[in-house]
Amino acid sequence: MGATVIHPATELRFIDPAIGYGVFATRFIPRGTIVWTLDEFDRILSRDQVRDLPGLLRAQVETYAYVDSNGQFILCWDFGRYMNHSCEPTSRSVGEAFEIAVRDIQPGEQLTCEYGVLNMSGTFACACGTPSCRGRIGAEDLASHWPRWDQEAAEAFRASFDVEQPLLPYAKLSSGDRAIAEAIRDGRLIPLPSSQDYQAEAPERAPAGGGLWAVDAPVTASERSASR
Amino acid sequence: MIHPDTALVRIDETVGYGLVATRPLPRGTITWVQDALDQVMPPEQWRRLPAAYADLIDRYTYGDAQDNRILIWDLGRQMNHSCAPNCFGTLYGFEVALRDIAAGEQLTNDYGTLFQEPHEGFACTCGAHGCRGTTGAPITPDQLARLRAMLRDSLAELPWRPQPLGVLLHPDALLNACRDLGADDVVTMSVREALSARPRS
Repeated sequence: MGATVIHPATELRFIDPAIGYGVFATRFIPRGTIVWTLDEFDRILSRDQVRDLPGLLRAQVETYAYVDSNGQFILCWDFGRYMNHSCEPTSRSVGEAFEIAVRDIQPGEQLTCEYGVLNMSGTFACACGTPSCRGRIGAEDLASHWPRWDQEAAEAFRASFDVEQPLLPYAKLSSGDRAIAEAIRDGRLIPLPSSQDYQAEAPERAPAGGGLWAVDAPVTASERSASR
Repeated sequence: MIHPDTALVRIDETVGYGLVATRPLPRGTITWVQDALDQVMPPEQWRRLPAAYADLIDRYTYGDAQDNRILIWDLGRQMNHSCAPNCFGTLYGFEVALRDIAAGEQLTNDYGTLFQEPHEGFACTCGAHGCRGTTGAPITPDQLARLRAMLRDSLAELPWRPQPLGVLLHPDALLNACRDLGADDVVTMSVREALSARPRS
């Protein structure tokens, strides 16, 4: 089972307890392929909605969602939310609705993206091991790295005209993204927005509340009868 | 939300993925709770989606008596079908382990208890005694009665189990289930006490 609307030729694999899951290609995916699209099932949550969630769920949103240019949390419904970061990712963001492969992706290769454009709060240590690994990843990286990111996105966009695009019918499009979708479909060059255009103030992340129903150890027989 | 002590693993070519316990989940453990991140799509919403979505609706959502389609947001939706499942309760808004589930064992539920269109069914290879051969056939009255009895008995264990998902549970969901299943008063009372003793989220 490949899950759309992450590309159908992908699967979820558990990597290790530190990294968790990752998304891997099950078949060859050529450069220019849309590997992820924003769609109708992705959940869009305002900051207020996230703040009002029970702590257990808020922690999930803060782990798996990203923040769009309107400062809203986007929780991808499918395996897309398990895509890991790499400093030399297999795809770049083009507009806000598409991730497009910047190079050919081989079967078994992990699909990765750039978290520096996702309006993260805080930073994390990166262990991607690529030659251009920045070591520490944060929202401020955009300011110095956007020219290369935008250039790779533009090249991926050009390559998108020549390959199959199974995800296009699922895309949920704002007016700006609609123009990009039509250009991909028609094979027509248009000026693309810059990754700088999608910056939003990183939301404050409240610490997740604990609140488990019971203690870790099962209730003993004597406690049990005492409670009765 | 699905129980945190679960993981998605590849079972085999036929079955694809399955959700397995990473630690033992004793009978009475709440294995899943419908939560605020799950989407309940009314008919006027899901029937109006682009044509490409028809297959996603079939494969990743389930139905209820009001013709809503429910899209579970997390890996809980990867739970496979069995004609002799170890979890039950979806339409009450939560699921409970009907028997002890060992580490490494798959969590399963019976798709025949959900509101499915006939075309959504596929051949069942669960191999359980009484296997209906397809996931599309509604559950038989006997099988449903057995699941209800197992769930009712499991509710008696529920207040005494560690319940990491307990904090997400709507009190009415659990008390409605107690009433609907004919749980005895002592069980209902201990469930009520456990709910009121929950820490605030």
